[in-house]
Amino acid sequence: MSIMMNVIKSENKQARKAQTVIADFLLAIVVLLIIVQLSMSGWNRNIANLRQRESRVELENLALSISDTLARGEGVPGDWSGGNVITLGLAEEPNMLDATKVDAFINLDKSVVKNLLGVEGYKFSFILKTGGTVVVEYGEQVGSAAHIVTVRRLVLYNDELTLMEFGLWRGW
Amino acid sequence: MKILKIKTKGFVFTLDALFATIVAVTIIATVYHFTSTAQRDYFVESQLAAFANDILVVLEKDGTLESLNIEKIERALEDALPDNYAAQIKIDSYKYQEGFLLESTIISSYPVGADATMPYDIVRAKNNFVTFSDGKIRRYNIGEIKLWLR
Repeated sequence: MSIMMNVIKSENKQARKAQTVIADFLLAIVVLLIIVQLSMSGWNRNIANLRQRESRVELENLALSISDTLARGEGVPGDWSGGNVITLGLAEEPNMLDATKVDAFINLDKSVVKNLLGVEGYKFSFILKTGGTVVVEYGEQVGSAAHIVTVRRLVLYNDELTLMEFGLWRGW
Repeated sequence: MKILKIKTKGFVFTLDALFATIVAVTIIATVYHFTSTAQRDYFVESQLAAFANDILVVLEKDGTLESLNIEKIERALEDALPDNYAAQIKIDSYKYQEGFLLESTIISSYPVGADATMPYDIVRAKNNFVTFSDGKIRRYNIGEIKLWLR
């Protein structure tokens, strides 16, 4: 009888001991699952944000690069006109626009301009403002475009300080 | 002896939990740090840098900087800056006499085009140019512009 009691006592003791370990383990699992769930939702949110950001940065870099090409480059050939242009550039010297090239540029077909600038699938606007007045306007209407990137550059146009604004947005 | 035994019973679990918490917090903080750093907007900075360089190039080409006339430079800045931009130009002029000696410094009245204090995210650009007199180089100049959004 005494031996039996001892065995039962020992089993009870062992069961109680294991109970603590299991409770601890369950708690750890619950905490781990909560952390995993939070991390997963945070990760997915971050991935979505990063994709959106990547798309925006691509647009910004493209707009900055094109504004540089137009405001500082002379194009290829250097004295290009509508019929022989290979690469666009509106400057005769960096930041000094050539009025003849600007005229030729705004008379080009928009699809040709997009092709030359490598922005098929995008829409663009090009504005020159002297003393706050728009002197040249070319491209598409901004309308309700949500993600438009506008780059401002300072140039000399007809020997006057002129603000050049180049806007770029996705065309779909 | 009994009290001591009770106190040390949960020790391993506490240490384990503490260690796990530290590791978890470190991982979460690291991920948060890198994702927030990656989302910094560099476009405004790049746009300001390009515009600051444009101002120096254009004002040099049209002879405004070479005049070293601070009122003329300020008027040109007022004309050149979009409404939400503010800038300040400083020009150090050196003469060469057995080495470069600082002759004068001019600074546009602070701050042109702004009614607020200068913020932290300022873009700076520099250029150098020479001024002539009687066909000889008279001064070596370093122009510096600070440009920011207001």
